[in-house]
Amino acid sequence: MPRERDDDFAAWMDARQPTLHRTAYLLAGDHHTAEDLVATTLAKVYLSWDKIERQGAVDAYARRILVNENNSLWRRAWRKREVTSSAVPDWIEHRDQPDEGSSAEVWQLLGTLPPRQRAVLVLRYYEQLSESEIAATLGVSLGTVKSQASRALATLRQRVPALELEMNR
Amino acid sequence: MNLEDVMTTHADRATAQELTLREVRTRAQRIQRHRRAGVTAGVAAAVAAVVLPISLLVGGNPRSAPPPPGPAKQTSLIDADAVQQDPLDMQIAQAKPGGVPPRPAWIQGQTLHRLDGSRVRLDQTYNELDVVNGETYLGVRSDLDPDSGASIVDEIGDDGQVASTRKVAGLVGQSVTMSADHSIAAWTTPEGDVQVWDRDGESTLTNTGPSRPPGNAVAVFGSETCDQTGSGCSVVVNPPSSMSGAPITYSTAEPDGTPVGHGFRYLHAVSPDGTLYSGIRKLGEPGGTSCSATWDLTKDNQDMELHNCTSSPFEFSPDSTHTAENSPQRDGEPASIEIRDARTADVSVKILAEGDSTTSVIDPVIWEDAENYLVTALHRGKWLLLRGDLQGRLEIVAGPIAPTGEPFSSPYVIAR
Repeated sequence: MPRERDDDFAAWMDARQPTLHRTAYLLAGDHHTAEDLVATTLAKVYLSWDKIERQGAVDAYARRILVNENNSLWRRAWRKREVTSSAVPDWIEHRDQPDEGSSAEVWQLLGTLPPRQRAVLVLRYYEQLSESEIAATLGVSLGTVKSQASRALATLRQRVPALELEMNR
Repeated sequence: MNLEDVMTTHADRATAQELTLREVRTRAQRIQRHRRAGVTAGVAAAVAAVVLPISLLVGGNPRSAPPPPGPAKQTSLIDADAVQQDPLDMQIAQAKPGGVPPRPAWIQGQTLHRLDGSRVRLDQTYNELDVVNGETYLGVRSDLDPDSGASIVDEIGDDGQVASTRKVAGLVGQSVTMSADHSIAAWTTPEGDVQVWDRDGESTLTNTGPSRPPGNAVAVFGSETCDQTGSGCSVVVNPPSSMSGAPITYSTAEPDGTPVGHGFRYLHAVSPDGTLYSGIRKLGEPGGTSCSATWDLTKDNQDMELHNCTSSPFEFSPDSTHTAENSPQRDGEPASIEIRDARTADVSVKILAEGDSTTSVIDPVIWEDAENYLVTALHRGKWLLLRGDLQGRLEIVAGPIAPTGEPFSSPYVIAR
């Protein structure tokens, strides 16, 4: 990659890395996985930089890679759970559990949602994306976004009715 | 408690040591090595059709080791999540055969595949195909008259022979346009006629006169009949050139025509529900553009420009939610086609061939329904008929076959 391209990429990376990491943390639920997601995302953006920069879609592209990578991690983890083995796992997932009362309870419940439902909520309520943008990011139809969001919110409301969770949008 | 607050509170804790460009480069090189290894494995192991997707899947995660290939499971569709390295792209190279035949009627070479599944040998070679009311087959032969540039519209008989024929104005873009329910076809003639074919056969909706010839018919609205005894129909017609005139709507009630207005100079496409217009507006007019844009002309939105200068939409999906667009192809780049959200212009999926601007072609998009569409592609020197969907899946319906006839002219013609 020519130097000027590297400079452009580095400038974008510096600006967007903290945001990407925050979103990755919300998607994955723990710092270690989030760091790995961000590293992979940045590397893939770097590889496709020329093309996506021309399209003016760098942020959307990065966001979609982030979500896809997180879903892939989940799929691999699921597959691992289905395979019986006597081998000791080489790493154990660490999930942060901050203690802050009811907010922590909601946070923990978010972690129990299926990845796609969780991704829809993160993109909607944290990234503030429209449903169309979420559909494009996840590669699903608008109807799927609506149904996944509806199910996720219903689950949260059902499990924490006492918290009177507010979802204004 | 607000869900946004919960997320923001926790996200704010997500501080991490920031990566350097060097670290990102190192990770990128590792991904590239994985990709190359995956491709090599896929080519070498022709019997292991599932190896390539799995190898590519592993590309970005250092914690994962490639899982062994599973049992040979036949599938005609790509799992887009599994194989897409670029989430915007659907690589034709990754598409697998096995797609069911097209739902619309279609032509391969000189064989017409009818809607009922029967086949008939055609007398002519056609560039476009339209089926009115599921029973009348109209084929267009392009660029036959060197003087007028007129094309020919043939009514194709049951035996595949030409049953009747007439001229259609030879213009850039499609010659014949169809109503959303495929019950009315419309086109224009070099003599200035706006012709329709409905359940009652062919008729002239209006004649603009040879001194005021129209451009191509870009949309027709109505159902079953254009007759005044019914609800009538209307045909949106472009000017002969994008540099002069303006689009006009001719209808059963107003055969003299009504300008589309809104400063439009030329229309690429109109959504089937009649709300979204894609085209070019005159510079100097309100909303004037020097490149293509899409507007919402519903009363509620009052001529709202949705987006501009992204690309040129040429076909709306049947539910008017998506557009098919040719992305600009620069020297050295392979042909590609994009399916975008009609309102936001966000790319839903992008289909990519291999090769460059002189060796690859993808065209056109014919929607089977609101989710699935058909494209023809010249890819690695052979023609393919493919089916894609909005979820990023791509399958081969027919081909590959070697090119014959005109260069870059697809042997597959799908009815609109």
